[in-house]
Amino acid sequence: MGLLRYQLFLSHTVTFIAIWYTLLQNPDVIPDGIPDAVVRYAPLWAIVILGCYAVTSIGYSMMTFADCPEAAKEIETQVKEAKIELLKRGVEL
Amino acid sequence: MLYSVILPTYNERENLPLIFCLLHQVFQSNNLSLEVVIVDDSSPDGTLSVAKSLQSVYGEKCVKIVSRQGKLGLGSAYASGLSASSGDRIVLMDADLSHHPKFIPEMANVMDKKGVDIVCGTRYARGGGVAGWDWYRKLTSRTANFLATFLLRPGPSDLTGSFRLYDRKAIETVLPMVKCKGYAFQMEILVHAKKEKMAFAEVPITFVDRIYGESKLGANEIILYLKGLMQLFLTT
Repeated sequence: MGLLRYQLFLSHTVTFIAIWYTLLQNPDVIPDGIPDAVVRYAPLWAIVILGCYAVTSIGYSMMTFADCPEAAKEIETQVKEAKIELLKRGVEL
Repeated sequence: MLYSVILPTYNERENLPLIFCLLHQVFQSNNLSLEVVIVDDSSPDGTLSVAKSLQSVYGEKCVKIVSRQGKLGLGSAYASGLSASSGDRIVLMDADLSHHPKFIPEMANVMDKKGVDIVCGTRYARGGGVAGWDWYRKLTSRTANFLATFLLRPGPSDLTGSFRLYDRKAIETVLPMVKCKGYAFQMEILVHAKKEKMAFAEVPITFVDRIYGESKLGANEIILYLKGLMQLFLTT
């Protein structure tokens, strides 16, 4: 009986905000290389990264989403054959 | 090993005998036992009489008919079909020829080899695809799937697809749990199955949209889907 999905997301969010708040309160802990703006607007960056991830993921899936016109042709051919078969067997169409 | 294919129909007078014929041919050439359960919701176009004609030609063992008084919805149609069926494995698919029965033997093969509870047809994986969809329709489908995968993560790559092979026990367990309507219905089946620790496998399939617009993608469908998604996000 694990966490519900929204609870999982909530717990991630709460953890993130807790860490972010702690870093804001203790700026000396932040390594030298990381700019102030990154830490201060971290939640905004998280949303931006999430957005990029969504766009990239959907973009990639659109590129790999195949068109299959042969399947449409195939079904039309088989529909014609099926009609003949059904009439032969005496099905009332 | 008997396979029951449950076909809910509403105004499928033209397509029903065709899909049945294809099913019959595929099953015969693959040496598989077939039972088709037609669940008709009082179609005004005479689907029931075509169903009865199929039954008289192919026999009552092969063709079962459940005739319901009024348009009662897909979920209950599946439930009625399930209780009228006697197969060990159940195929749920569209009755309008958008799904081709030729993929069923492959699904059966995968279920034999991998011992999974559910084999999902996927339009998205390599080897799968759609015919007759424009760019916008494809984008809607992919975005909806992305959203559902991100929020719910049930596992399979195609969450709103409706072409699947189920082990009988699996679908009997999960179907009564499903409350959503519309596209979210198919998603909810997988969400509950995952919670019940069921195993999935996938087979690429092709989806042929023969009459554009029949895919019913109005604002209503979209809102219904988002509501279902939210409901599942909050309750599972």
